[in-house]
Amino acid sequence: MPLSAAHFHIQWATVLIVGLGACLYDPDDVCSRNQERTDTGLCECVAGTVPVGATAGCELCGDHEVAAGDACICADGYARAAEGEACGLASGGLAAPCASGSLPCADAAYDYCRPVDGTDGYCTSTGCTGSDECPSGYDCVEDGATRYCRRPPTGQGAPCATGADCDGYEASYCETYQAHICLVPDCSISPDSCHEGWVCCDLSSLGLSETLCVENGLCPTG
Amino acid sequence: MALVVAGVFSAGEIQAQSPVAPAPANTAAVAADTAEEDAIAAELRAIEEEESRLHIYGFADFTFTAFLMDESSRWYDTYFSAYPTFAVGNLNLYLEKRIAPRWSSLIEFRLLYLPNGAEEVSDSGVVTQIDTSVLDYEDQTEYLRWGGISIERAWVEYRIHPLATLRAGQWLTPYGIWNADHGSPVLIPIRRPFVIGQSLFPRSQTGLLLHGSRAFGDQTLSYRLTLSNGRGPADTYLDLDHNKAVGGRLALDTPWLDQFTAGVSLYTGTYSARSRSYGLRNDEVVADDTLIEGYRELAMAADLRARSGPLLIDTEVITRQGTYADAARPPDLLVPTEQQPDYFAYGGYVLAGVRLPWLDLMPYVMGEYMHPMWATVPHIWEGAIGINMRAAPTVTLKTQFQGARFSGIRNPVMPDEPILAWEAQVAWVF
Amino acid sequence: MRSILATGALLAAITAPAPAMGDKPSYPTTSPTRPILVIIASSSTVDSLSLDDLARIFDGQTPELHPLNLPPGSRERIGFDQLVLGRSPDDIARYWIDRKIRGQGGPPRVIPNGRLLARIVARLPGTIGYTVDGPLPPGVKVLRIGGLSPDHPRYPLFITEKPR
Repeated sequence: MPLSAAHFHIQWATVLIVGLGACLYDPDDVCSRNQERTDTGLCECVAGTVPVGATAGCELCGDHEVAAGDACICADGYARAAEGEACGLASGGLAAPCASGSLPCADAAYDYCRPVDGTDGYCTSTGCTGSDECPSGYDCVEDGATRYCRRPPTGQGAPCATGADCDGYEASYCETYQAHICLVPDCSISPDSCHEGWVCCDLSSLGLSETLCVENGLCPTG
Repeated sequence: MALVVAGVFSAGEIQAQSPVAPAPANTAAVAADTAEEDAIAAELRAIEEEESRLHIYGFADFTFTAFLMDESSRWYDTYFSAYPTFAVGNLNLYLEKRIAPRWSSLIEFRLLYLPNGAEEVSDSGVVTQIDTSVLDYEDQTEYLRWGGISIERAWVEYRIHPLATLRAGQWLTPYGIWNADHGSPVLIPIRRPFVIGQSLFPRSQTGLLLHGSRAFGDQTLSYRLTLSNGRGPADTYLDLDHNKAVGGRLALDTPWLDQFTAGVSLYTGTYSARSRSYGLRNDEVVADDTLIEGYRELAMAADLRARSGPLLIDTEVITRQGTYADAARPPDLLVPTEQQPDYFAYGGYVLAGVRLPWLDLMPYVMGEYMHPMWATVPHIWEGAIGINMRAAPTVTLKTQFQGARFSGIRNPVMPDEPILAWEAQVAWVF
Repeated sequence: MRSILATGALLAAITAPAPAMGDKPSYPTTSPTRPILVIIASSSTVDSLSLDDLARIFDGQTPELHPLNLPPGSRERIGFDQLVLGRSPDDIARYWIDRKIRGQGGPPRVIPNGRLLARIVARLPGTIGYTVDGPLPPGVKVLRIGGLSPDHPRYPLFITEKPR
């Protein structure tokens, strides 16, 4: 073979070898961001990340979130104030104080923040069909589309001597004639807004322009 | 010496000129010359017609396949039929024409019985065959099963220069030996190697292909450069990204031995599959376009065909690497909760045959190995031994025994058990 | 005796491998031979071709030139295919079938005899053919092959005369 032809073939072989060495594939980086290789050689989400759909890789869970299956959930002690919002420091269990939008209820069993005063309220559960499904002392009531377990009014039945003793309670009226206990004033007769076991009593026939929640059977006007 | 004839022929095509033969000298000679002139005129007409004729031809093959595994083989539960089968496999038609000076066209399509008989899996996991039977409108008493057509290639090309011809349309990807040989009467074995069947290079592409060759003494260097849509869910007519695929091939044909042709091929492109969902914004329709699978790929191959007397050796080595887009990595078929990793697939085969002087018989052996691109698919080893007989230039008879094994990775639908098959085929050109 | 020699020479000629470029062709010297004349239109600028070039043209790899062939089975065709392409008639048939299936085009047009072929070449610039039949008509010229004209003793293309 002439020398020029030999050179030609050497160049040809060089092109071949260099070409076959070119790489797109990196054996140390075969998965997407936030993924790692499993024992079977496939790619799965690393701890703290969750898959985005079937093909869109894995996304890191946010602050105070942990991966659980395909979703990021709030870590213990944290909860979302509303769907889609970040996890924030959460309140405790049943009856714990909460605030819609700022202090969510952490306990999954009592994750409903029932507003009492503006956005502030207490943690309870929803979805009851009767009071027997509610914690002791709670009754099942409906508010719009939501049925929830309502706690007893604060202070209801607490002993008092003067009106000052009931200040700060929902039962802010001190009945000083006979029972000397705090009662819930300004209740609604129909429908009856008083807690289970109590009844809204219209005292107007006695010259008092008030309605009060009194224990069943103790309403003097009927 | 390189042949340089550029510019010699004005249009590059055949054009008849007026006769220049001298006038005949006597009556007998006049008669003879008249007859000859008629013959020349007839040939010229025939050549002219030949130039513009639509050539219709094709090939077909008929194969008997029997798997020889034990009845208890789990392969019968997953992939292969336990029942020996006759089949008309390929039925390909070619339409070829020189459509104008320097312009030519080739269209090839394969006629299929599919989708009739294709397997489909119900939600409950029951596998049945698709039945395309419909009442024949021409004869309402009879059912017919309709089939399909696969367009294999459809291109037009223009010879720009003796060293450059530009092809446009759908063409077979220029790589290796097998994809170029293409037709069953030309191919020596019955079954293509896995490394070819798995399409590490796309089998065909749609776009532009520039090709040509140049002789250097007794050697010829040929090239192919390609620009195409690349791969995609509908790549024959729709590209779903801005990245065009590019590729090429260089082949050197030398007179060493009786034939020694070596080639290297390359292809790189981007695959994109998208979904689109629609919604309303300000009373106007808006589309949300999502890349559901996307990857970049680079495929490289080297091939060699050597022939010395009756001995023929074909070999190809092919690699394919792919990296998925972070947000468009497909789930694994077996473990849908996990996704497929980037891959480096490779494989190759060696085929050796000896053309015997009797009956145009060619005993051959073939061996191959393939490391597939899917993490949960085992490595493939395959060997075949057979006889190819060119009963006539247009008729090829083959018989082949082959064995394969998938091993190295546990896969519930690809058991680590041998696959054994015997096949016989007649392939013909018409 | 002459007949035996001529037959042997013919066999030798049609079974000999094609000479590679630069090789001295092995052809009989004891039997009468006739050169195969490779012809092209006089207007062509091509005057000489190597055997490799000629093989590429008749293999369909040089689209600028349209080869014209003689009928399969003719002495000239068998000799030409063997000397230039190194293939037997069956090999040639297979070669063109395979090329068609690969989508690489069909074989050269076949012209019934060399005399007619020469006249067609004279009238169709862009065609190239071969013949042993003379005299050649006006409008064609004979190409040198490997730089050698047909009257050169080492001219590579020839067939033996038919035994008489």
